[in-house]
Amino acid sequence: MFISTEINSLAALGDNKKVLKILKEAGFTAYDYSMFYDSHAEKEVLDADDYIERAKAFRAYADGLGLPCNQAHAPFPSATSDAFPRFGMTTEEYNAFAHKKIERAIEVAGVLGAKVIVVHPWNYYTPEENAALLLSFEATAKKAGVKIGVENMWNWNAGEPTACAAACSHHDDFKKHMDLLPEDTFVACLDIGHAEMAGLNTSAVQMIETLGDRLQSLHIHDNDQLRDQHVLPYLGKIDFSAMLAALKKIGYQGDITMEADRFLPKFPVGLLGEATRFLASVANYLKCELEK
Amino acid sequence: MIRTGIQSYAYFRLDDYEVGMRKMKAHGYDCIDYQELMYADSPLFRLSDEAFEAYLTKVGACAQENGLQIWQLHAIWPTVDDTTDEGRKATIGYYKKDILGAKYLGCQRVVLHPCLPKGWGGDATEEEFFDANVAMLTALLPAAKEAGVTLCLENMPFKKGRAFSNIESLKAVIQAVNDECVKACLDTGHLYVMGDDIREAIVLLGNDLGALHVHDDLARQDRHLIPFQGAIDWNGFIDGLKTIRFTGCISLETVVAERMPEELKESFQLALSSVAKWLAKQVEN
Repeated sequence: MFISTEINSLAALGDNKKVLKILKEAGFTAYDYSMFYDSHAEKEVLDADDYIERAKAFRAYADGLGLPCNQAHAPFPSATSDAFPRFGMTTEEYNAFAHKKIERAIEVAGVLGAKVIVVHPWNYYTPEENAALLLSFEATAKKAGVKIGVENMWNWNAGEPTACAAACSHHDDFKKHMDLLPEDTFVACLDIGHAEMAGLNTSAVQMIETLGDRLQSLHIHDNDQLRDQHVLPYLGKIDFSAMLAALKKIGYQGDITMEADRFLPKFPVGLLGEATRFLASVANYLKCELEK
Repeated sequence: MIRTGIQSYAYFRLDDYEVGMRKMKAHGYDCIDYQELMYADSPLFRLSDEAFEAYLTKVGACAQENGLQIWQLHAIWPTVDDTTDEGRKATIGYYKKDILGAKYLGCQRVVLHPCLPKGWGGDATEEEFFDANVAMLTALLPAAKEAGVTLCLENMPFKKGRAFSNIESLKAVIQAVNDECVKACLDTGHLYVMGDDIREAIVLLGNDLGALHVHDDLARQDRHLIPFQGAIDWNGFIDGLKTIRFTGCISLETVVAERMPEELKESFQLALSSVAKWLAKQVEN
């Protein structure tokens, strides 16, 4: 079982090679390659004409460090609707644009050796609509040798202090999504923090127990059980003992992948080494507890 | 050299101070903010005079043996009752014991919360605040001088009682008492709660800044977070201290997060110490 973290929150270091180095020194045993809009990954690899060659070079660097890529994250949103225009594009234009980006991201994830690439369902789609969207990436994922991780989303109640339903935000809806997708290519990626937001009428434990062996990937972070804060575990209110017990119960075989991406960026560059070491200690603690 | 320190509750309580101090030193701290005399119900206040002196002298010696300095001591909070003469007298009694305790510990700074003449929720005027605090400090000065202790009056985070939560009021009290034994303790989180500019506050205090309570905050709730996990302007903090040529101690007033598992506590403590050292280094550079 690897301990890993997303790499985008260390963007202040300047480039992703520096990020990998600091992760390795901090004690992480793998990395989660975040290919978000405006990220180093997008600039260094994803948007380049020779993105495959660049991904190979990055893989060689990571292999040299002895730090495998366990997981990756595709750009998001994976699609949009007319009410949510993106980048000044029409819905059709954006959806075509995002589709091309995600296909490339899947190829890159394959080159890097990731087991899973997380692709968000679109918040406002039905399970059937999301299945159609996600299945459009199936052939690329198979060719790249990568599984697609479907993540639980959330929306926000305008004017209210709580979240509200979105694709996969409830354990039953998440299961419904997964039931429409073939097991050999699609797995569930449970975002622990999203599952614990008030208003979604679920919990990390209910999600884990419902998803069972479809659950093969995690985004671990903490919050005040209201907002999507992405803070370090144990600085918020989530019950990680209950999460670990549920993961043990289903015989979870995936990795411990952190997504506490509001923890590291707040530190000055001079403290990022120490802060990353602490993040790795927390990940390692969760792994040890899970393996007990 | 700028020193680094942390509140004693982050490492030890009454009965395990030897182990705690060894660990503090191993984690790289130079100083302690001693807290065992900060609650009126501390068992130390119930000791005989001889036992009080003996215990605190032993604690002070232990700090010295470990290469640590008890840099500051937190006097009792909450106070007995600031709204009555009788209550204020009783608080002064505790403060005098705090000062004596500081002397036995070899500690030169006692941090006091200001007298709140209308209580916590009351909205005292500037004048009422000024008079009550000048009177309190004047009453404590002889004991402070005798003990070789500087009294450091702390800024509070009470929006209702704005008078005792702003640096100008604090500075006015300190200047009125006009004695080298009276200075301010700047609490970074309290200042943030009030929405005041940290650099301006430090520069305004200048040489009157005697001690620090360093911690971060979010949403103006006085949460005593590790620096850089909240919203305080740490560049302003560093710049302010550089401007006044601060030579004291970056003393953290935060502890390991309550929900952190036992197995992770030491890693958290080390992270806290690194943050204090980094801040000290930035002020020195």
